[in-house]
Parts: sequence; structure tokens; C-alpha cells
Amino acid sequence: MNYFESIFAILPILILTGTALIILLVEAFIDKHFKNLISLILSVAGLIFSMYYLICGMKTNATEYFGGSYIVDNMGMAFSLIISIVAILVIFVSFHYITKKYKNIGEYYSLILFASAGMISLSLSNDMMTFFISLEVMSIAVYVLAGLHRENLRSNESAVKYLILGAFASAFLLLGIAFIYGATGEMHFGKISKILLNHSSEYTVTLGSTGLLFILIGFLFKIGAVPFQQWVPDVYEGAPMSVTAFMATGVKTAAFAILIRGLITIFQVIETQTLVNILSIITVLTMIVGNFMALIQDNIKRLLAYSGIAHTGYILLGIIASKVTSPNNMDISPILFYLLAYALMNIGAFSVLIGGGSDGKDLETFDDIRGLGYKNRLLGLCMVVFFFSLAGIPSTAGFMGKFFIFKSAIQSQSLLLYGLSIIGILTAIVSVYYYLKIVVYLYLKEEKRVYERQSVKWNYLLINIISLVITLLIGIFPHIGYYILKI
Amino acid sequence: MGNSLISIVLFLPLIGGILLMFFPSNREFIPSSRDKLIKVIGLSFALLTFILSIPLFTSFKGGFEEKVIWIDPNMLNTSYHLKLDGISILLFILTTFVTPIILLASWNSIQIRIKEFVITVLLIETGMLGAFVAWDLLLFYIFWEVMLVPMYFLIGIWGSENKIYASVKFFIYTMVGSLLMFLGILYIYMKVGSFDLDVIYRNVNLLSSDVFNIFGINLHVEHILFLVFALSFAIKVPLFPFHTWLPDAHVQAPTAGSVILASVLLKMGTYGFIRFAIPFFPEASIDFAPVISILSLIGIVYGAFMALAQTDIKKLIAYSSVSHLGFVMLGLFAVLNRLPGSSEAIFMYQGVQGAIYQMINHGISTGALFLLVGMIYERRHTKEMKEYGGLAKVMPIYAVVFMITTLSSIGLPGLNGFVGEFLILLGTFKANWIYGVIGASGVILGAVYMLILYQRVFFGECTNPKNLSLKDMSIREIIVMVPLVILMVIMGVIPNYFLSKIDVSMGEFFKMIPNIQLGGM
Repeated sequence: MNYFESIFAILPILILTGTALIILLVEAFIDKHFKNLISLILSVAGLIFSMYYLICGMKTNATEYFGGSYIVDNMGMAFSLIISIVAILVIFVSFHYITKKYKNIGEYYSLILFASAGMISLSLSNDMMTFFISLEVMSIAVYVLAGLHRENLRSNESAVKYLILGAFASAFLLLGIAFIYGATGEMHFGKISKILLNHSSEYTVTLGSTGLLFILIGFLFKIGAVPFQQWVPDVYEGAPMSVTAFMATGVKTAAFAILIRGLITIFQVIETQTLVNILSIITVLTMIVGNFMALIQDNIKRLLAYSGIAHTGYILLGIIASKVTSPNNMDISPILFYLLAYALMNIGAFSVLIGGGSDGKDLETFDDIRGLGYKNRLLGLCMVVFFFSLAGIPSTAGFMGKFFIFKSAIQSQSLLLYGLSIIGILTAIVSVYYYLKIVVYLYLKEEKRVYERQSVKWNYLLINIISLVITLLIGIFPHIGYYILKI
Repeated sequence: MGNSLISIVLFLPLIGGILLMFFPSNREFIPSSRDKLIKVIGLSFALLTFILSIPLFTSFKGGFEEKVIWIDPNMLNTSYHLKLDGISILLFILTTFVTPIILLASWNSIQIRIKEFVITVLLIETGMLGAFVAWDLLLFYIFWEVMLVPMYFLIGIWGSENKIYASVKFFIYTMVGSLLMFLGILYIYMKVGSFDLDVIYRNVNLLSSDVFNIFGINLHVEHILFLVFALSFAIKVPLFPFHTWLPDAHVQAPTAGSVILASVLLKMGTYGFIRFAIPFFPEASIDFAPVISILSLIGIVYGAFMALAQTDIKKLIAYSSVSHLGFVMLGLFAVLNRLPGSSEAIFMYQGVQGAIYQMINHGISTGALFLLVGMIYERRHTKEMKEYGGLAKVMPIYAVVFMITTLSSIGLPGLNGFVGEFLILLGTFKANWIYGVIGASGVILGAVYMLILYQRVFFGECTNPKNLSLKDMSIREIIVMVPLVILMVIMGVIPNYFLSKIDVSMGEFFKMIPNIQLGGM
């Protein structure tokens, strides 16, 4: 493989890293009044540039670069596109927000870009080394972001908790990688599975599958599946709101990218039935714990954290369905669609929570959002659409996401998946209750009071309108979502 | 325009609602004139919708159809397919007919958030119309669910004290049913490979073949699917024992909400049985017909007794709805009987015809009752029966209109209610006389509780001093009630005009269903 072609293939990642470095440099030299705006323009330009090269580099056939370390295929590209969209939205949401909380603005933007570069690299990685380094690039940037609000104890707690538990997950991953390398002497995903499948030596197989189990645990930790979910609500609650939005969408998308990459390569070694059984138990627990714990929250950030866990459960359901339908050639388009929808409605919801706040405080508890629908009609309308979308009411992206996931589950024609779908639907009914609770506070409480109109900064409005329009558009015409992701 | 008239009628209220959303909310207008302007715009959209829908009804000769590509057909075998046939045309026209009446009736009673109110009512109209004309399961499901959202707000924002409880209960109850139905719809798609109703009707035999073996018990998929669909529709009807959300929703909802619920929304459930549950799963419908008939009978009698025990006028009418809708369900299921020694079943024609007719009747007369209760509630702010008495002397016009509506509701010959109940009981007696006897007792009980209500509110001495100064119906209120009263008489005197619209497609529709024959013609 030509060396320059390889460089061209990872150009999106290079552009992002380069932009991040430029922002760090530029920030030192410019007047502090323009710092924020210039950093915003630079980082969005960098992201759009990198998206452009992502789309240019899109190939119909999967191609490997750098001796197999990177793979460029439709799946990786679609994940990278979602991640780029998420990053752009999050950067716009942060624009006014970070000036309130934080002084060194340049660092914030470059950390987001570093994290995005790590995520894109993660979804394109094809061997153990690349994957682990990308994961750490992403994670370390996000650890710092979570602790951004230095004077705030909860932000510190969040960062430390995330760091320690993240290190725990990294340790599992490293141990797993070491075991597998010990068993096979290979780093490349494809070669590992080839060796593990062909070698019948008991030593290799035992060591290899122990390693795979460790790696699976690491992945499940990153996507926040039960029983590895405890860190999610605490970390989400403490982190600054814009970072929470980034973690809930970007990090989750990247983690799913690598989980699916693993499922179509190294985890094929494990017998499909065993894998499906393990994942099914985890899915059921995730759906149940996520939805029922969300019921009893009084903090909206925590509620969204648990609802995020529940949505992880639905995505896992989709993964199981495609694994059962065709173990070797998984159709992951429903999962991609779901992730796109999930990202849009979550970032939209967080943007309302930030934008609707006054006096430097975000909206965090139910009392904070009382009557928000009357204080600012647009924010209220957006919030309602996003929460009905999260609940899966038709004509929103969330419904179409659930529709495709459950459709693939039913079409697999297996009794196990019928059972999982029924549990999924029953827990979805539970979720309707807590999403409605938000709407109750937005509109139904003290509706007779006359509220002061509240104005909102342009960037929150922009993100809200964009998310609202796309949520409704791909909710009514889902094929547009498929075109966006080219799947 | 001729070809896309259904779509125009369907989306006109939605367009009106969206336009109103952009209506300036700042202080350029004097608040009262601004509110009036909003109401006029909303009303004219609703009226225009009604006027445009009239040609659909008068020139109806068997059906209108529209089909356009919606989602990329390579991805999903579905389309934007609308169709009006004899079963849906009357319900469709009823919806466009009551919406302007509802807006006009709420002219003064809604004091807060008027813009949002008008938008909400218009959105509900589009949702309901869509559910009646959708000829594609996915499209139907979308309308069916979407209509919940504005209805939830209607009860939750403009309702009385306990509105949050009532609105959440309404939403959750309906969601429980419809989400399970959602899985059923996906299963049908997996089997048939299309959401289009024409394709599904042609391939219903594909749905009856599967058998699950769970823990050694054989379960017919058709039975499970039928139960899933039936649960969803039964909650909406509401069939005993799934009716508990209805009294709460009715009592807490504003007048507009109660009228929408009673006139159209509840019909969604019975319509669902005729359109989906019975034709999709004929075998299972025949097997479950006795169960559903008995539940309907319990509903008829139980609803009537509960109505007798109420002191709140709105609650009384809410329970009478449970009883009346029990009749409709009886007309659909009591008349479905397996022929002895054969796999075929016979479906008594009069029962189905009467059920459809009764759906419209109930919509008109119960809707009118809720409007009337709303009018008196506006004046006195109480719905307790004992607060009234002797109103006939104070409000003579009101008393007359209320009397006609009451008589229509209890099925006096010459008014609309009689035709529907008579046809249903005729079909039921032909099929199974025991059901007929119990059902007929419901008619008598219905007369008892309605007349007791009338007597307590209107007759006797006007003892309560607050009632002495009550004003009779205003011109606006008379305009609201007149079309309904006229319709009650017309539908009672020349039922054939309306029944013929139903008949046009009945035979054709039921010919498609395997194992079920129409009988008693």
C-alpha cells in the first residue's frame, strides 16, 4: 500500500489534531475578547474540513492502511460522520457556556478536537495498538474536560471518578490485549481471529478467550451497560453540561463503533450462541435498570444519564438482532440511525438545559424547568419534541430509531429476540412516564401564572432549531437519515 | 385538486396550526382583539376543512384513494396510502364536522393560552382524520400515536384540578396498548412484507400459520396478535375492564377535550376492531368473540349502573359512554358466530351496520351532552347535580335542547340513537338471544339514568338562589347546538341515506376476509 495513500486516508484525524494544536498556539497571541469567537471558527472549520475528507475518502470496499492498523470502510466512516456532527453541535452549544465557567478557552476547544480525533481514529482502528491508543486519546481528553470547572467540587468528583474507573476499564483492556497477544503473537484484528479460529491448541484458545472476555468487559464499561454503569450518573451529573452532552453522545458513539468492530472481527471467535446469550442478559439488565432508575431521579442530568443507559440497552438489542440474523455480515444501519437520532435529541435537550438557565446557572432540577415552556416558547417546544423523541413517539427521529431496531429484532425470527423485544417495549412504557414528567413541569404546572419572557443566546437557538428540524425530518422521512450516513 | 382532496382536508388543520404558531405574540395587538383574531383564524381553518370535506361525502360512491411514495421503497415497503371507504367516510366527516363546533363552543370558556388551545385542537383534528384514512399500517400507527400528544396537552393544560393525574393516566394507558400493538405490526410486516392494507388483506392466511411452542404449550401466533391488537383498541374504546382512564379524563378535561374524546377519539378503538383486528385475524376473532361479547355486556350493564350512582353530571355521561360503546362492541362481536360443524363463521350484517351507525350517533349525542354540560358549567362552575333543579323555568331553550339530546341518547324512535341500537339488537337477537336480552336491559337502564339526570336538573322548584339569575343560551351557543340537533333528527328520520354510504363497501370489504361470511341480509 502506497504510503501517501495511507496518509490521505487518515487525513481527517490529522486535520483535527492540527487544528487543535493551532488553536492552542493562536490562543496565546490574540486579544481575549476575540479568543472565544476565533477558537470557535477555527474548530468548526477544522471539523468541516475533516468531514469533507471523510466523505471524499469513503470507499465502497473496505481498505486497510498502515499495514492493517487502520481500516476505511462504510461502517467506520458512518460512525466518524456521526462523531463529527456531534462535535460541531457540542462546540456551538459550548460557545457562550464556557466563558461563564472557564478562563482558558483555547484549551477547551482543542480538548474537544483531540477527543474527536481519538473517537474517529477509534472507529477506524483495526488492530489492538491503534484501538487502545485512540481510546486513551479520547478518554484522557474527556477526563480533563469533565474536571474543567475547577472551583466546583462536583466537577472535580466527576473527573476523578471518571479517571479512576476509566483506568480500571483500561486495565481490563490492556490485560485482555496482553493475553491475546500472548496466545497469538498478533495485534491485527483479522489475523488474531484467523489464528484463534484455526488453532486447536487448548492453551491458545483458553488464553485467547480469557483475553476476549476482558476486552468485552472494557467495552461494556465504555458504553455504560449494566453492570458496569455505576459511573455514568455521577460523572454526567458533575461534569459541565456541555461536556456531559459530549460524553453522552460522542463517547458513546465511539464506544459502540469499537464494540461493533470487535463483534465483526475478533469476537467472531466466540461461538455466536454464547456471545448472544451473554449480550442478551446484559441487554435485559441495561434496559430494566436504566429505565427504572430514571423513574426516581429528581435531577434532569441524572435522569438523562439513566435514560442514556436505557438507550444503550435498545442499541444492544439492535446489535444482538443483527448478530443473530447474519453473524458474519452484520447489518448495522439501524444502530447507526439510532445513534444519530439519539445524538441529535440528546444534544438538543442539553442545549435547552444550558440555554434556558439564567444568572450563570443551568437548569438541573425539575423545579428549574417549571413553566419553561411559557418563559420561552421555542425552547419549550424543542424540549417537548426532544423528550417525546426520546420516548419514541412517532414523527420524531427517536420513533424511527426504535422502529428500525425493533424491526430488525422481529425480522430475525428468533424466540429469544421476540422475548427481548417484549421486555424492551415494556420498559419503553416505563420510560414514557419519566419523559412525560419533564413535559408536565414544562407546561402543566402553574400554567396560569404570567411568566417573564426570557431571551436566549443565539448559539443555543441555532443548535435547538437544527436539532429540531433534523429530528422531525428524519422522523418523518427516515431515508434522509440513511442518505446522510451513506448507509 | 380533485385527486388529492383527502390530503388537503387532512393537512389543512395542521397547516392552520403551524401558521398560528408563528402568530406574533408581542404587544402589537391589544390582548383581547388578538385573542379574538386567533380564534377566528382557527375557526375558519376548521370550517374550511369541513366545507372541503363535504364533497367527499356527497359524491361518495365507493371510495377515494391516494397513493404516493413516502419512504424510499427500497428501504421499507410502505407508502403514503390514503383511502376512504364506507366504514371510514362517516367517521371522517364526523371529525371535520365537530371540530368547528368545538372551537365555537370554547369561545369564552378558554381564558388562558388561547393560541395554544386553538393550535392543539387543530393538531388533534389532523391526527384523528389521519388515523381514519390511513391505508397503510405504519402511517396509521403514526397518526394513532401522534394524536395522543395534543390530546394530552389539552387535558393537562386546560383541565380542572386533577388534570395532571388524568392526562398522564390517559397517555400511559394508551401507550401500553399501542406499544404492544407496535410489535404486532412489525410481526405482520415480517410475515407479509408490506405495510399496505391491500397487501395484508390479501395475505391474512400468512398470519395464521405460525405456532409458538413455549414451555410445552402451543400458542397460535394469530391469537397472540389478535390479543395485542385487541388490547390496544379495547383500551381506547374503552371496553370493561380497561375503562378506568375514561371517567378521569372526561371529568378533568375541558369541554373541548371531553367532546373530542366522546365524539371521535373513542371511535378510534371500535374503528380499529372493524378495520384491523377482525379482518387480520378472522380465526382468532371468532374464537375470542364470546369473551369480548361478555365483556361488552358487562360494560353495558356496569356502565349503566355506575352512571346511576353518579352525582357529577360529567361523570354520569362518561359512564354512559362506557355503556354505549359496549353496545357498539356487542354489535361487532356478539353477531360473530361459528356455524355448527364448520370452520366458517357468520357475521350478522345488521350488527356491523348498526355498530358503525351507533358510533356516529354516540359521537353526536354524547358530544352534544358534553357541550351542554360545558355551557352550564361556564355559568355556575359546578357539575354537581344537587346544585341544580328547576332549570326548565329559568332556561327554557336550554331545557328543550337538552331534552332532545337526552332522547337521542336513550334511543327514542325518530331520533338517531334508535336506529343504531335497533340494528345492533336485531343482529344480536338473530345471533344469540341471551346476549340480546341482556343488551336490551342496557337500553332500559340508559333511559333510567338519563331521565333521572334530566328530572333532577330541570324539573322541580328552582330552590337554589344562584340558579334564579341564570341566563338562557346565547346566540353563539344556539349556533353551536343547532347543527347537532338537526343531525340527530335527520339521522333518525332518513337513516337510509347514511346507511347506504356504509353499505357501499361493506360487502366488498368482508368478502376479503377468509372464513367469515356476511349473513342476515
